[in-house]
Amino acid sequence: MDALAVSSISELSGFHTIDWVIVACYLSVSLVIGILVTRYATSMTAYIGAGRSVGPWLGVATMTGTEMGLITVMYMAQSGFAGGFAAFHMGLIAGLGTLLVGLTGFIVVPLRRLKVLTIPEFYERRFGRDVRVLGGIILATAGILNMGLFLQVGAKFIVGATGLELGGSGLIVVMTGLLILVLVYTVLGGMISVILTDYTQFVVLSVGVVITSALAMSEIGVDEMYIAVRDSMGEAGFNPTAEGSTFGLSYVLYQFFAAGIVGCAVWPTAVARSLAMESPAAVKKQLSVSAVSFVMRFLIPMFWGIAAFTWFARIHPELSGTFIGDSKIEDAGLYAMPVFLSQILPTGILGLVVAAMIAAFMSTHDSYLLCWSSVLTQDVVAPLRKNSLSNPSRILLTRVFIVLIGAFIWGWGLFYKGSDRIWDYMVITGSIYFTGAFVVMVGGLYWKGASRIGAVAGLLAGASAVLGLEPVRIACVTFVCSVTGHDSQQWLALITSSVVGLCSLGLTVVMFVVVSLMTPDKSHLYTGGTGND
Amino acid sequence: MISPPDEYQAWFTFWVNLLYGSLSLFVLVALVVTVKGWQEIKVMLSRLKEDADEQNAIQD
Repeated sequence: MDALAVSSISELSGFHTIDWVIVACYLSVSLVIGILVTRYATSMTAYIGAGRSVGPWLGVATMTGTEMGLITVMYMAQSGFAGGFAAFHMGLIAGLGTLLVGLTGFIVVPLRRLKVLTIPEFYERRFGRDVRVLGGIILATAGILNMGLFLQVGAKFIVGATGLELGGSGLIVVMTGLLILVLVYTVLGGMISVILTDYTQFVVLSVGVVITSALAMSEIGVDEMYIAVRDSMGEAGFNPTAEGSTFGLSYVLYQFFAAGIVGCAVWPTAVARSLAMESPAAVKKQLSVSAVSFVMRFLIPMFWGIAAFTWFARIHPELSGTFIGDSKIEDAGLYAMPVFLSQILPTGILGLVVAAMIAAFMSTHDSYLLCWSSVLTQDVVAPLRKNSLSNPSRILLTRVFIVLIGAFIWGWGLFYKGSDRIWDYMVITGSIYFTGAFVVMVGGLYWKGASRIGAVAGLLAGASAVLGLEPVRIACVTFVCSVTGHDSQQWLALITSSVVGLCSLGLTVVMFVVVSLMTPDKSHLYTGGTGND
Repeated sequence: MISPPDEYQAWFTFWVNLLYGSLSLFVLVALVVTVKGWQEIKVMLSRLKEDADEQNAIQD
């Protein structure tokens, strides 16, 4: 990393003492809420499902709070910084997909009607206990890997926005502090504290989003952004399928599946919100209204990324070498947006936005920690035990898993060195689970011919999506090319992560259908639903 | 420097309109969610309190 560049970033920040005070006050309030609601978490349903008493508007707030986390803001800003306005296609797809699921109740309404707490619990009702355990293991593995970079990326935002030193131990200290904070109140209050902090985050983040976007527009102007993107990226900065685009046709097609349907109907943390709703009708309302939030969670950070690109490329070209071009710093696309915010936001507002972002970070972390740990408890450990686990034992075990997962992501954030975009890393790690889960859930809910062995085959075939993870993809293609004597660079350009994802999805569908037809079940545990009320 | 032709203006207009439209809708939704969500929090907590009291009564 360029020493001069590091020094200049630390000097760029306009983060002052008053900003630190605002952040400290906000975090203290969150902690107090987490401690106060501990007394309500007396059963497993209350601890991981808030007693299924969440209304539709609160559902929208908590869904937005979870899905518009700091990691989302960072990877979407990175996409906007690198891909220009063309990155907006993901937001459009996500919004349309969520609206479609909300209007039809596809997957989520029949699941809610079954009153299951987790997706693997549905596997057991439909296919049997062994499918639940297998599904739980795959889900937890993929999910924990998926959140592996959350801590590192969140810490990079704070370092960039507050002007802490990039080199040295600053990043590790921030990662550790954030992790301890999240662990404390997630372990204490479970889903109830998650929902309450999600609500406060929604309110603060909404204010921060509007102020920041308005300032970015007034300080730079969208016309200036157009010129910056046009001159630097050409058509690829506007058309996601243009030649030379960082996206491409296969990427866009895969987003219809990953961002459009999976994001709201299959991804466990989003589904957990639907399963905590008070009724199936509330689920549909929640998702239909959340479609706007799903568009915003992509568009706004991407817009900030484009604004940051314009800021450094055109407004302050003397700083462009730090973030753009051959001499840019490591992870320039990630650091650019927070550094840009620290430059345009006035004192006080900057503190509010950073507090909102830390809140966004916490709300995503608490939901994910709670989700994966409850899957391990409910769907892996509990079904494998001969004697049933008591409620206090389940809550204790879930809390132990929360701490263990926290320790893992701390280590993984320091260890993983893949150069893939954060969004791509998340899609691929997530697809290890959701490729199989999507096919098995749709088949299980809507196709009577789906069988237990078919579900096992589908879940295992879906895990083949791990081949799309950049270090794995590069290793596999390089190995095969070295054996066959082909040009590995040419094949790596052809077999992108999205192509691997689409192939994995096709393979999963084929395996699930063919194996189900070949090995039909003798009796059906659950015959599915239509998704209509 | 001669600027390239503005052949991407249609794309740009589409994306920026999407951004403005979504932002406007989001502001509306945020206002409603803030007010209605607060009312629902009060209902949720009272229900959870009743459940917790029941659980405690059973344990006693």
